[in-house]
Amino acid sequence: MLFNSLDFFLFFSAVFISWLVTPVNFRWIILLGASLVFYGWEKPVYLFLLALTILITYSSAIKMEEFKKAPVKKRLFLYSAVFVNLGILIIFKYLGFFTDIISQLGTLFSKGFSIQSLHLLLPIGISFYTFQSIGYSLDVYYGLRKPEKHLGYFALFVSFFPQILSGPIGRSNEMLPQIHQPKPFSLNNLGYGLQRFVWGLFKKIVIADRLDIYVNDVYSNIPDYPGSVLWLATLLFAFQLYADFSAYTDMAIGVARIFGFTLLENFDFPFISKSVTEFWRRWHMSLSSWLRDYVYTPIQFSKKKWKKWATVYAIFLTFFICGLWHGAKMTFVIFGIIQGLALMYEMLTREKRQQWRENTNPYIYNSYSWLITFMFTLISFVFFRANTTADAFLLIQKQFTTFYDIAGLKAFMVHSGGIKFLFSMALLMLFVLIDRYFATTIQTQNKKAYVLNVMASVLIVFILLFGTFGKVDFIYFQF
Amino acid sequence: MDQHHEKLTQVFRNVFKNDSIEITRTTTAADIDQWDSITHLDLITATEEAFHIEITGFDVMGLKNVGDLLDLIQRKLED
Repeated sequence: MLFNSLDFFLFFSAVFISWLVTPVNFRWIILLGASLVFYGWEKPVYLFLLALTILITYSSAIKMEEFKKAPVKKRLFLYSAVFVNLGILIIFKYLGFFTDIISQLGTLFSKGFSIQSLHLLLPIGISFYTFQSIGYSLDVYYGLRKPEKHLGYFALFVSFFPQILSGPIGRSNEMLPQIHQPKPFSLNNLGYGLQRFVWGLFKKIVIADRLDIYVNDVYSNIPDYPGSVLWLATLLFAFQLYADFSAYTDMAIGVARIFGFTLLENFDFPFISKSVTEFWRRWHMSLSSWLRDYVYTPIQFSKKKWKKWATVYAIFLTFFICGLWHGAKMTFVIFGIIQGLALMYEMLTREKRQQWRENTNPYIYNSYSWLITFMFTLISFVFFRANTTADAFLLIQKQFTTFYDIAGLKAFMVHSGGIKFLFSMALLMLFVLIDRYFATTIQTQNKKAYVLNVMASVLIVFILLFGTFGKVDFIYFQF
Repeated sequence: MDQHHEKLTQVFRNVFKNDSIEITRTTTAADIDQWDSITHLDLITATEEAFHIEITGFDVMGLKNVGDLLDLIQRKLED
């Protein structure tokens, strides 16, 4: 169910009213029921997979506690939980990818080689809730969290509807205490939640979905366009992706807050980053911190004796996994690898760059660092968006050869609607200008109530006048 | 405990190359500019050398602040 749909509006209204009239201590039942309906809305059969994840993760954590004095058995229960969750993810998300690779390798050696390609339909949200569950198992294993004894609470932790489809990926220590101590209804939370939701809706249907039309056109017809247009489309895609995904996050955080829950933040103005390291502290933060805690740090410390090469190795493996997490496609693997390479470069040149910084005019150094980081981000996003690896390489090659084709750029603008296209660009510019002010003001509520209400009203006017009403899925639904 | 605190302060100052660093039990990575997921390994290996102890990946996962690290050092020295 899309947040920006009539279905969701009706669903939300029904859940909200039921939640409101139910005594505080029983409200988890309403939220759990709502979450299951929400998740099963289009394909109820996927509820079985969700139930499997919930039951295995729940019971293995209790077993880990029981065997805390028997490390071997304790580890066995950790492995079984991780094995089941990763297993589900691999079967549904990666089996087709692997069978395709085997099949291609096979044809290299024998012409008649063929194996059944196994592309299963990807259950929505699976990459998010399985990661959240694995994080919980590891928290219990490392002793950071006592196992949750209440099956209903635990089921709500895994399936909470605002976050199950696209995160933010929750942590046990942040979510479970909130489920145990439900907050009563408050007008402040309702106000905050609605403002955040409206801000997200604005970013989704006024900015992201509008850009989608142009980006999609160019990325589906790369051979027809010169480098200049490809640069423009790549720039537009970066803002589309940011607006789309951060919009989802805003709406998820807003909805959760109405029910008294505070979810993790996911974005902190990533495009102002002055290094790739900084970018990953500002982009999809719930995923990057998850990877840092459950993949990077354990790998780094397992190879501790390698000194700095342990870090290099851990960065590379982590970002390889990060790429693959986004999807079972070579383009995402390359996206992860080039991000990993950039981070390795930054790690190895830390001291050198510190010296440069000290010996350069700070304004020049910072502007240059920002520019390089942003250009790198754009190029890496080509792999994120391109339909195939060949497309991505063709696009980049054209970007560096026919970037000067201004006539081609003009033709593209005319073909994309002329004034209408320029108007979309003006809206995008407006978004870039107001993003920081609006996001910060709504998040910190640091202005008087009437200022916030005026801001929300302006956003609603824009949504009604310039929103793209139709069904464009959130980009991160595919992960 | 106090001598551990003093010794650990010295480790922090050496690793982050800053002689003005002061640490308390509640100090976290957010309080020290250079302390991030990359320098964390240097900090832990320097701590191991200074106290002649071995800290594993499992131990590291439970650390939330300097207080946890001091407790870990104490526990390792007692073992």
